[in-house]
Amino acid sequence: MTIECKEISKNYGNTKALNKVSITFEDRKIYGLLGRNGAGKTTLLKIISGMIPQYKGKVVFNSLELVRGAMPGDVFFVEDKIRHFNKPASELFEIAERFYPEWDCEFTETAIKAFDLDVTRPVRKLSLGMKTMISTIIALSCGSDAIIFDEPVLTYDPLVRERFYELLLYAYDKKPRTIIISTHLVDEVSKLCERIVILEKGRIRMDLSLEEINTKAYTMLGPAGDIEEAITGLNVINSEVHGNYKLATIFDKKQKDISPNISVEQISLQKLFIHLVGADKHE
Amino acid sequence: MAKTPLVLTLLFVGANLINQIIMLNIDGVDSGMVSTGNIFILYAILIALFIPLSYFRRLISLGIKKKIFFRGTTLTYIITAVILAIINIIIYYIETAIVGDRPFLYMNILNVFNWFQHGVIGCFLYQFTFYILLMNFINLLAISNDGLGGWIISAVAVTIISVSTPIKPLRNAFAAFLQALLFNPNLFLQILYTIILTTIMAYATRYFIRRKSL
Repeated sequence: MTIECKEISKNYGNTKALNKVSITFEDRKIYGLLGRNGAGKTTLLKIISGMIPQYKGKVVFNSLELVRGAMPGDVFFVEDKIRHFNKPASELFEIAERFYPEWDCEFTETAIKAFDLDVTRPVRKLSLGMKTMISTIIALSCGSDAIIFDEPVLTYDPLVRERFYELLLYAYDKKPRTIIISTHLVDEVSKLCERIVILEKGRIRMDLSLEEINTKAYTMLGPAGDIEEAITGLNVINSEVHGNYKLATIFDKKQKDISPNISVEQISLQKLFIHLVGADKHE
Repeated sequence: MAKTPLVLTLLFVGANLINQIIMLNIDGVDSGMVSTGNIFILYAILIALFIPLSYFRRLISLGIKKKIFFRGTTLTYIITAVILAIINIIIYYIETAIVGDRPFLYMNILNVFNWFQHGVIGCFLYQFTFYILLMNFINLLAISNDGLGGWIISAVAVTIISVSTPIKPLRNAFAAFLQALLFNPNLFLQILYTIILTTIMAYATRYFIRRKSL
């Protein structure tokens, strides 16, 4: 499912949560949506899911515009704040299954085992992480063409997080679909996502494939003079001076003729994110 | 079936049954007895509060869409209205047989509103339309309570009741309105009025559901 957001704006009082955001989430791709707290990630995801009906702009699913106030049938949204009926998980799966004709029972069983989830205990007796597991299993089992996760791993321990990523890829292999994951665990999602979108203060700061990011984001370390010469005309997003040496973080095309005194290294997505949206950026 | 509204209703039904047993075993008491069937109407009120205020958000978490929720709610209210109407008729016959010609007052809305005037089928239809109207009204107030529009509807409802009660001409008009809706001698007209009002409320409910931010 292709999801197009056209000029989406949303205000909360005088605060602009989203400011003319235009972005296309392509069919059958996994997206990582990054941004600082208050960047507008949840608002954007909720608008796409039809959970926030008051906004400006358009949301289009496979060329069909979302009717204001309606919730798109083939989009499943997993919130960070989950409220479930106080029933055992097995019953909740049964309830949800009735509404989704393409429900994948085999996947549900696999996910229950992978998460080691006790499906007989009522929700009230489960931890927050386990409640999130229930929503995650429903989302990945229901057969929706698009799944949106808002901070899905916030309540998971590292082991469960790894299992979540494995299950997500397993579900994607079984049925490729559009998946959007909003998270602060930047480096962890970089293993899953094909494209990374960064929101900053209600605007799209970056929308690139991981491949593009890997070729464009790097550091150069070397004598300050050589570095100054090498970075001329490049988009420098951070620089630090250590004695006679200078470390510059670049977000631009790689230079071919670089002095042998300069070492070039790729940077992690997290570092790139910090430098792009951090307070002390230099462009 | 919604568990919490059902448990609460059954508690009240149980208490009423105990009261009835005591009443039936104490002769000459100058008091009244409320039909247990009427107590079941509490379920209609509770379910119309619980579904929008408590279950709506939980159903959305399970991936149920607003449109499905609206349809499901409508169907639930129809089934509930049918069951309540049947329960009240059955209990009415049981209770009137037990009470016989004992001296105390037996109170049942089926008698109060004269809903048996068109026979058992008429009584069923009177009740059905009333329960549907009641549940839709409560549902509308509950679903719209988080927005300005909802507050306006609630304020208008309160104003109509409070203003029309002390002023005689308004009181008469309000009484005529209630009579047309609740104990209209013309069954067909009552059904027609109820359908019109319920449809308006259903559209308003759908509007508020669509506008609801989650």
